[in-house]
Amino acid sequence: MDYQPVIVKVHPRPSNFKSSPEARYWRQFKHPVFVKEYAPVTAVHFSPARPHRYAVTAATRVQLYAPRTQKVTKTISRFKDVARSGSIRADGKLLVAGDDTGLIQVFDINSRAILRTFDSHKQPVHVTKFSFLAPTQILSCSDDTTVRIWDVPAQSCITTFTSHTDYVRTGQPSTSSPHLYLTGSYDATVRLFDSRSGQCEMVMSPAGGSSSSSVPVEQVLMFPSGTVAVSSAGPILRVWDLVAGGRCLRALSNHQKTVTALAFDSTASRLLSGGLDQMVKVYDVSTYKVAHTMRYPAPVLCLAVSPDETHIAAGMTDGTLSVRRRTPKASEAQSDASLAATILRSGTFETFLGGAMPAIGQGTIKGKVKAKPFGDLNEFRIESRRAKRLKSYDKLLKNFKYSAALDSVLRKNVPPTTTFALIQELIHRDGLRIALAGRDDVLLEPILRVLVKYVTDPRFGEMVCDVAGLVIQMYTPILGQSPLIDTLFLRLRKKVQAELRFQKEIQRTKGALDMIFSAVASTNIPPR
Amino acid sequence: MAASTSHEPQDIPLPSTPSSTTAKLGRSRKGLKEKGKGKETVGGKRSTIGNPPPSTRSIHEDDPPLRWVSITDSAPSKSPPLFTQDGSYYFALVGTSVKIFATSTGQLVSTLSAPPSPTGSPSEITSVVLNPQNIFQIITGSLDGAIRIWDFLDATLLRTYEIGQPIHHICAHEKHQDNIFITVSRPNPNKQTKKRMEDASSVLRISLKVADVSALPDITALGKIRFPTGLAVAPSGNWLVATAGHKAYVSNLSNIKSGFTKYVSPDKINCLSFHPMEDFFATGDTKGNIRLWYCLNESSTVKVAGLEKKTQTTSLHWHAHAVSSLAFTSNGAYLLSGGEESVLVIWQLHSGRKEFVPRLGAPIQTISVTKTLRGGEEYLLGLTDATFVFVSASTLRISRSYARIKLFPSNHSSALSQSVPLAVHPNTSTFILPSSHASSVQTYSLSSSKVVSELEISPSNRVSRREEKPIEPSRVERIVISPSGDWMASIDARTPDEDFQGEVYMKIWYRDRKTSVWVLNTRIDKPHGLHQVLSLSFSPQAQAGEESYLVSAGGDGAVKTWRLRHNREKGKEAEGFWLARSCISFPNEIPTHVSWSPDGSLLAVSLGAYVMLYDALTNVHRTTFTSPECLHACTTYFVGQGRYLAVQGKREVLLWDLVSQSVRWSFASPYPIYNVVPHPENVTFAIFTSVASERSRVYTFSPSTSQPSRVTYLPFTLSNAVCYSPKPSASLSLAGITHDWRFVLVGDEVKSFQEEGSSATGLLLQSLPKRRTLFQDIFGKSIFEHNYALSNETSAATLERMSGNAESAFDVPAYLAPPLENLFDPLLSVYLKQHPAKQDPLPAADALVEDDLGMQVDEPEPIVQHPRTVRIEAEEISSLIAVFQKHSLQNCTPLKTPKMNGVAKVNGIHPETSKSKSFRPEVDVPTPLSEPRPSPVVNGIGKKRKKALDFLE
Repeated sequence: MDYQPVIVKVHPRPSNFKSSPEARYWRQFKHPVFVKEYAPVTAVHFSPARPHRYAVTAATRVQLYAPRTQKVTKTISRFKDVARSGSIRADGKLLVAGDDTGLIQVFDINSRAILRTFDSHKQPVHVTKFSFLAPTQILSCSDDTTVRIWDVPAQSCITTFTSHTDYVRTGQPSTSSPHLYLTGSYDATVRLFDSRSGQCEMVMSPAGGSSSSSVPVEQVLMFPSGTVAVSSAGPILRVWDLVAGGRCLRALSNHQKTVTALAFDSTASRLLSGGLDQMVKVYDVSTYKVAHTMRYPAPVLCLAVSPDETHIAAGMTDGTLSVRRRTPKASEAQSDASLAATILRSGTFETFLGGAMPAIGQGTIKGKVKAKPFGDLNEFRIESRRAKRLKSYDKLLKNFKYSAALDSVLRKNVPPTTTFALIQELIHRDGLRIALAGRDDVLLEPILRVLVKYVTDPRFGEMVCDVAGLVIQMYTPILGQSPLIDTLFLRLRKKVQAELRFQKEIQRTKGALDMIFSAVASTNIPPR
Repeated sequence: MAASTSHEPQDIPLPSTPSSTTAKLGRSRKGLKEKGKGKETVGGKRSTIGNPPPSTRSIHEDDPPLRWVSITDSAPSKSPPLFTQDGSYYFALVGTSVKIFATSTGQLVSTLSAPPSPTGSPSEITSVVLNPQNIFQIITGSLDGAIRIWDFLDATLLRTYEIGQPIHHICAHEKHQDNIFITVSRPNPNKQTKKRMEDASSVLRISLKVADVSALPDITALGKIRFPTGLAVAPSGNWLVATAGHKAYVSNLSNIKSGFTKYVSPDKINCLSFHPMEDFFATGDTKGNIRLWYCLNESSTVKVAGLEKKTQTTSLHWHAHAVSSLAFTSNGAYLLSGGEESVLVIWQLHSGRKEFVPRLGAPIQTISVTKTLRGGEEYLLGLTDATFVFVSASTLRISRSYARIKLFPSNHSSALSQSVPLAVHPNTSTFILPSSHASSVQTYSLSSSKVVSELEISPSNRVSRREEKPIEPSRVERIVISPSGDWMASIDARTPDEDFQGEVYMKIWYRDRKTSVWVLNTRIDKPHGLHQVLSLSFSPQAQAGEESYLVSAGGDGAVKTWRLRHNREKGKEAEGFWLARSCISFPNEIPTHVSWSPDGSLLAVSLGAYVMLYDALTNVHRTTFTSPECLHACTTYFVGQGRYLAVQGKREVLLWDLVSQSVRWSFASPYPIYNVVPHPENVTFAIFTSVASERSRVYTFSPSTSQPSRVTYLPFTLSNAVCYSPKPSASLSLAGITHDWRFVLVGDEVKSFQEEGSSATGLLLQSLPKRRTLFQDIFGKSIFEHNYALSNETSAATLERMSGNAESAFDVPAYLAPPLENLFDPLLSVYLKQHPAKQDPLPAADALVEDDLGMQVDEPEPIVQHPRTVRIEAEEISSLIAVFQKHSLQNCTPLKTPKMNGVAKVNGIHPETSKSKSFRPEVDVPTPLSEPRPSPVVNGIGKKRKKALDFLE
């Protein structure tokens, strides 16, 4: 049985995003296919249903592309003027598009027949979208400053919102409620409409209402949860908290020119923004930091990510459609989408943390200590044995010089993991009291400095508390004799008090979060 | 070569048998071993089947017993192991038996078990010495007051003396051949002062000379002492020293009537050892001091005998705790001491310098010194965990150590949590058990009945305690092994003390298939905060190759699942490690148990009054079971291929039907239920209830009815039990650890389990690996010492390879061919046709003997087994009987005939008339040093005489 050197624990470290698997992932979207159109591509929309064909709107037609071959499968060209915003319903059977005359048409994708026409807008209609939760309703936003909700079966307008004062160039039905609609207008406001009241319920404007410095809103995008929205005005992205009454959470300016396109990846964990500066940037929505940047040959007008995350399509001003593809892994391909959804709802750690799973504990410890095999006596085995050199503190510990061993790890250049590993070993040996005993102020100072420094470190905080308790218990009688020690004790107390306040705050936040989580969980219980 | 019945000792006409019990012992003990049951086991004797006699059953308990076998030894004795004269074997006292181990291999060779005393169970043997009259005999003393003399070569009990008082020590000396000295506890004269008188003891001298027929030996009392801690005779044979309490009692053996001279030590004396040449002795006391006493001279003792005296001593102090054992090296220059520090200290006596052998692994209990075959010395240390460690005197390093299954309550008793780790490794059918130190586990293989390896779950420096308070080690609480057998999860925790909080680690180990060693893969600190982990289990393997999930339930009210993840990096092998997958937390209740459905799709969580079912993949809550009949669900198990759920309460068991979501039946037990074990294959399950602390009742149920299909009982309660099945069967086979820390196998399939050497076997029958002599080094192995049993095995294999075609053996190059000694026999037997009728055991040897008759070479005498057709006259017989009576019956040496034929050849006395004999040169058999020889004269004559008698008939 040999002497066991002190085992220095390795603590988990949050993964850094610089060299991340993130960039590797986005770089997998290779081999861009460029399709030339006659005019700027103004809208790309992927069908939510398999096989995820995508509708590309350019000039006076909407073309449907097959994702496998990148070839046109259908062309709808029954527009009198420039077509706008061709989008496909969730079942993949209907397509809606507006045009510059103000006409909205609903097509059957298979037969390309016009099923419904809505002709109330007097100005070009730039946005036509099916509602996610009410598939028979269509949202349209027009340059005549109105936003309308249409009923498809009755071919009639249900609601008209007239709060905007300028062109409404972007809008989106909510994914969490069938009654909410988010729109953005050139009057520099983002508005949330409720079809139940028929009114604007929330106004979000970047400049706080002063219209002089206002910039038109180009794009809005709502998170699937329906609680946070993103809008772009000029080169600036803004993140709005809808639950907090439209508070601006973040403003991001990573683009040089106007941001014209916004899109989520399939799980809404990444946000993609494309701008006139010919760049597409990928943000991590947990931090809103740019995780990856893609370069395009022309200013980007529209952007879409396929629901299975295999295609990124971008339409550009020069009439080029760029499609980047990724071949999904075999394991990904066979994973069932509905099962994935249940797992998502079940709340495993992995779904929360995504790819950036921090190692909890210590993964793959290289076994330094092997179990002793008793083995066969006749078997003669020569093991390569390297003479391990003990560290200085190990040597002292081996000779039971506890106090000196503790001093040797309290020096400046010793990492704190080593220091606290040795303290842990002293606790195991019932020797910390000996190591701490009999110190004058000069010898006590480094201990107290270490305690003050690391009392708030989550790696060592608990052990610091134990050691500090012991130090206080042992050295209470000498308080007031040395000003140096007294100030250190006071600093320790101050830091502990600050930490306690902070912890209380965290507890409050956690309580609030628990409420939200349980509310979400209760809505997800499937009905009996 | 087994002893035939005609060799039984009672067949030989004897003048007198000193003890009535002795004569029949050989047969009665043999009968016991063959049956292997019918004996209630007390104190963990190895390999006895629990099948108690009907008298021990209480009246209202008419349950049939369940078969069980205990595998653990009882705790090691404080008496140091005794070596044979040549040092090739040593005797260790284990409970009620003396175990004989081979020094070179550490293998258990034989076990001499004390017969049960008339009062019932055999009692513990406390001391052993070599018989001063015959070095092939040992004398043991036991707590039931019996002195037994054994012949260890034949493994027979020769004689028993009943003293009637518990014997603690025995010592003997060559100068006092007919006497041995013992310490016994004195019986209480009056009942009132029982407590005070408990340690009253006395030193007795027992005469072994049995001139007369009387069974009672001649006892002489030397004096009264306190409870004895040591007894020794000076090397000169003039002095006897006993230690007890604070005093050393010295008696002059030339004048034993003068009584004891008492010398006082400041501290309680713990152990005693005499210098091998000079007349002084060393004592170790409870404070860690070693004293050398120079008080054995005539002048000081004669005058004031019986008084307490002080004398000049030399004191050696290093030990911080009590010195548990002392020994002088055989040259007397060094003193060895050991104690709780697990450090062997070697004191150079003339200079007082010390050398150390540190970190022996466990506290030292005994020290003994032996000579190695090469003339060096070795120290044999007996540790408290029943490990024997040999330390070479020249290098002061551990040369080898032999451990047997280590399971002792002393090291675990202080644990707050009474969870005992126990697991079965399915692939190798080994058990993982707690070891002697709380932070390590041992792997025990049932097939080889050996401890295969030991694994330190939390490696630590085992420093000894500083103060009275023992150091709290990290304890292994739970061990589970995945169904694939590749992963093992362990929980080790250090309980918090007043200053510091505890630590909890979950460690997941990967089994290296090549070396079958567990390698630490993932360590998870505080898997459930600082709370205890209450349940841990791997999911059953869904598909081959797919790794299972691990689920843990903790005192923080959370159930966590963990899964294996692979981290692939370019140019490196994929590394797997375990990560938290999901967490279900319960704010109000604490989940006490989690179990998996047999297909791994459902998790049953027991929390207080509820049992909740979760989908294991999605963590979606499926349903909750609650019933007024069971207000506290302790554990829940899936039974009957997962259709039913057996919920164990404190005293009741409910069976839920998952399909109808209703209680199928419930069963209320009159006694507390402590365990439920479902059968791994069929639908039955067993419930263990504790009737008393020492008795449990086992019910076997099937899901169809609430009537137990079987009710049995066990004479112990189990703290942990796992299912193992040696073969698929209908009945349950369990391995468990009892509350008094025995490792038992329970079940109908349990066989009478015999480890090699666990019965009494003659040492000569054992083929100890012999050392090659110089002769053999030069001329090669003698054909007569060739081990035929071995060669037959190997030659059979060789023959198979040759596959009938003998010539093909020489097709291969010479360096690839098997050795000639292995090749010779099978090759010849291919060519030679075997005689159908006669099976001659030694054909080659015999033929060679006949051929070599003319050559007078230095060949050893062949070992021949044929009875020679020799006419022996009646007068020869009578003269032989006279010689026999004259020589052997005077000193009562063993009467059993030796089983080894021809080894002990006595020339000159033997009335040999064979022609071949007369030509034979008088050459002694070259006996290797390592093998002990029986005393030649007696055995030789007995043998020949017996044979002659046979021929006369």
